[in-house]
Amino acid sequence: MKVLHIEPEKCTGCLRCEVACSYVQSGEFNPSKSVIRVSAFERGHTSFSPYTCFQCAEGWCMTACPVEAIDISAVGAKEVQDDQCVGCKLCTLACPYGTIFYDPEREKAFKCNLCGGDPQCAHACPTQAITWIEDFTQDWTGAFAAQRSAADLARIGATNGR
Amino acid sequence: MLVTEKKRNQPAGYAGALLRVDLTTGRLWEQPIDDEFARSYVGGTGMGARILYDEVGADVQWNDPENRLILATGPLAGTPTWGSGGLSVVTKGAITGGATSTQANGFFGANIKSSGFDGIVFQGRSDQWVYLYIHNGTAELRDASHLLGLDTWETQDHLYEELGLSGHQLSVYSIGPSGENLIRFAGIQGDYGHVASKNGCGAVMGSKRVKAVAIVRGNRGIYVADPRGVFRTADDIAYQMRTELPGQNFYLIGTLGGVTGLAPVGGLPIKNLTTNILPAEADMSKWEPMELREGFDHRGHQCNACGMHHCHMQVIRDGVHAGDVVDEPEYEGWVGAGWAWGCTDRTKVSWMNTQCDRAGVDVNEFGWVIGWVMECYEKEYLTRQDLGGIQAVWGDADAAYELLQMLCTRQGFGDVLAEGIKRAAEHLGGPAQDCAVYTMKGSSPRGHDHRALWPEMLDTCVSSTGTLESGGPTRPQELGLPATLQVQSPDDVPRQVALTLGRRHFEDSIGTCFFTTSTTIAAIAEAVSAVTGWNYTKDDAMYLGRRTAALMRAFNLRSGIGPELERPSARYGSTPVDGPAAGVSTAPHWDHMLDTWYELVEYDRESGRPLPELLDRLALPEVKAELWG
Amino acid sequence: MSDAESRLDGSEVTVEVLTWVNRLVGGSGSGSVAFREALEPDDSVESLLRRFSQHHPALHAQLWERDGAITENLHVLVNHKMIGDTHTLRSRLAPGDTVSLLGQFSGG
Repeated sequence: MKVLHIEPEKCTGCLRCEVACSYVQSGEFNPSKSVIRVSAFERGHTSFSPYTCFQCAEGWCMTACPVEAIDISAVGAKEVQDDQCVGCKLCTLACPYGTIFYDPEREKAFKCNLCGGDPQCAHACPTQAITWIEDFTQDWTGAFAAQRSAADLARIGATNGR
Repeated sequence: MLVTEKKRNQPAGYAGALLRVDLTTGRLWEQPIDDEFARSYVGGTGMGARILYDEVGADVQWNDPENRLILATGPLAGTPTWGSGGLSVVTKGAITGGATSTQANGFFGANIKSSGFDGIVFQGRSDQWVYLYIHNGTAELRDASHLLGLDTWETQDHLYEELGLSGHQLSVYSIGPSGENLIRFAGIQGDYGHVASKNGCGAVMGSKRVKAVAIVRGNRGIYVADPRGVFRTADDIAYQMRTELPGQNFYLIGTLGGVTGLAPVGGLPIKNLTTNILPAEADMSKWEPMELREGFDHRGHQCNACGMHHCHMQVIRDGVHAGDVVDEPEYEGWVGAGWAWGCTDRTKVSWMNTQCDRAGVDVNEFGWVIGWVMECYEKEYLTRQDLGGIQAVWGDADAAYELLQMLCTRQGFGDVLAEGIKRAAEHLGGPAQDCAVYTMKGSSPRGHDHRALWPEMLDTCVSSTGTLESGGPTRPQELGLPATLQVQSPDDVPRQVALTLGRRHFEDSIGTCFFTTSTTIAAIAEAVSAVTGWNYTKDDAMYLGRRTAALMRAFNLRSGIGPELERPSARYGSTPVDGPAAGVSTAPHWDHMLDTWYELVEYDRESGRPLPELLDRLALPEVKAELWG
Repeated sequence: MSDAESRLDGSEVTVEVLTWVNRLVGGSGSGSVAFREALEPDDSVESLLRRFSQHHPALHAQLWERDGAITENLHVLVNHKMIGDTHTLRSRLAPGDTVSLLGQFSGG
């Protein structure tokens, strides 16, 4: 099965994925509407990683939804059905990865639906940090984040200890 | 606090307003951008030049409250076009006392539009030090007394913590100690390593007592006229960057190829232009571009939506600064923070380059200042005592760093150096003055030895922007020039500089970066059309550019800057004594080159004024009235 | 002196391709990659480069503009002097001359 494969080491933090995704989500270039977000590590200016729903097997959002508004689409995405979503935000609380969002303007949850099988973030990424390939899905960012955050944590720890 | 409504009818591609800030009264307001203003001036340098010309009179000095400081982006900012975080700064500058156009990238353009504005116009002077906070259409002046004395990176670190934001959620463009102390070559630095450095725009910001501009990535969308066209034109330009010269070169290695690429033609400045022979101690294999990149632990640090392998961070591997994170120097940094004063240890140069960015000084002028001090020290025009105990020996990075601190705080002889290379040289006078590299307008060249690259020397001297005004001809045939231009030909050189005039003004008005638009003007104009819905062409782009250039020239004439100042200093215009360009000289050809340039740009050779027919064609009747009565 | 230069016979010139430009002729993008090229009667700088680039399609595609002129993006040097100093593109070459191709840098 094709998955959105993320290699954080290749990310330069240009946020082009957010620009493209936000267009799909909102019809405008508005990164606050993007469902892929680039996280910054190492004091915010030397390491970056794109981060979005990796369509986890558990489907926490889907399980938590009281009105069964989240389905699995043909391309394997957990997808919010706008006409069923009542905007209760339970899914955003249930998701352990923080990759489902609430849009206060439309009063609906929203998340990555893999653009129906043609993810625009992968098209937009100039360094192939995001690709759409055959693979098994996983949390792509955890190990990278732990490694790149270690120095920051040590710095904060040292400050607190003093 | 100014709170604005989300716009409904703004021109496509625009947030729809300039943020006006009167620092004297603390008043903030919106100046709407309507279709006509957008189409006529586009953004960045185009809009800035119009406002500068309209609002800053002849009697206003660079450090007067009535000066304007304009920080603006353009229609492509925030879109998928590579490098679309552009900032263009326009003001009456501290170096030349004339118009300024200087650029930086990062995320300024993308973030400010997402927070509801296309640019900022500062006027007046604050009683207290302030920073400007912008978020989701709101804007507020906040106390900055706790940020004073911090360097530009510390300022951003501090605001990250204070505002609880990190990464590109917050753009900070600030001045360092140099701008606070009104160092004439202070710039405005942003997002860790992007500097609008020319003509003392940071000193202007300091004179207004603005420490920083902090812009939160907001939630206001940018509506564009033809979204598919925006993606298509962005991808077309990206394809050309990846596959065709000259973009391909920048795509692969940014500007790292400059040192080894310019040395063979005598274009690499060495030791304040005293020689063009590579020093024996320099291991040039370490200066090959991929060596420069791989010789450090490096991390991508691209600007908004950019796919170029250009901007990077480095972690220094060895020496006393091992582990320090620095911004990978541009070519200009390798020269200004090293080669120009004889330091060829790339690790030391890399570290020094970031110290210049953090202090907020223009690295080019820093190089000419330090090179001049070191030459004067060698020739005993300056003594250790004059320099407060510093032994300014060629290539000594510790001495250079001490001089940087000294000039940023205006201590001792630092107070003289803080005035910039021309004024410092005039202060000493005599044979010391003859060693200094500058133009008679007061500006200094970029980090190239223009004695081998004549177009840039002519461009630097005739410019109305405080730095190169025309820039290189990326695709010369598009502008009626032959493909092959000789850079030491008295006939080719002024043609190239004249017929390219306007291209850079256009590029600096659209919110991108001239490295990422190293392709045809037509291709860039097409991207502008897709975003705005205008049917924008190469001719429209050059019309905007020439119009902007004419406004800036008229502004400079009003400020007393005319053709009599269009020549290099003794050293800058000297004949190389050795190396690949030994014996060639612009001097015998200078008047001929000026004559040709003036004829081609249609400016009056004697007075420097744009000719009435040109001003008619450019639809600038008010400029014609001012200049010709 | 490179191997190529040291083995020049009486009717050859050296073409050296410097820095990033040598990626276009199979180099690493660093230093100099040098070639020997036989000189033909009445060879000018331009005619020699035209023949030389035929063997290197990637260079050929970048070196020549559609109208047949040499691109603005590369500097041509003869015996380490830029074109326009001692030679033009139409000047005749002599055995033992060195023609260099170098990337152009401006601004930045």
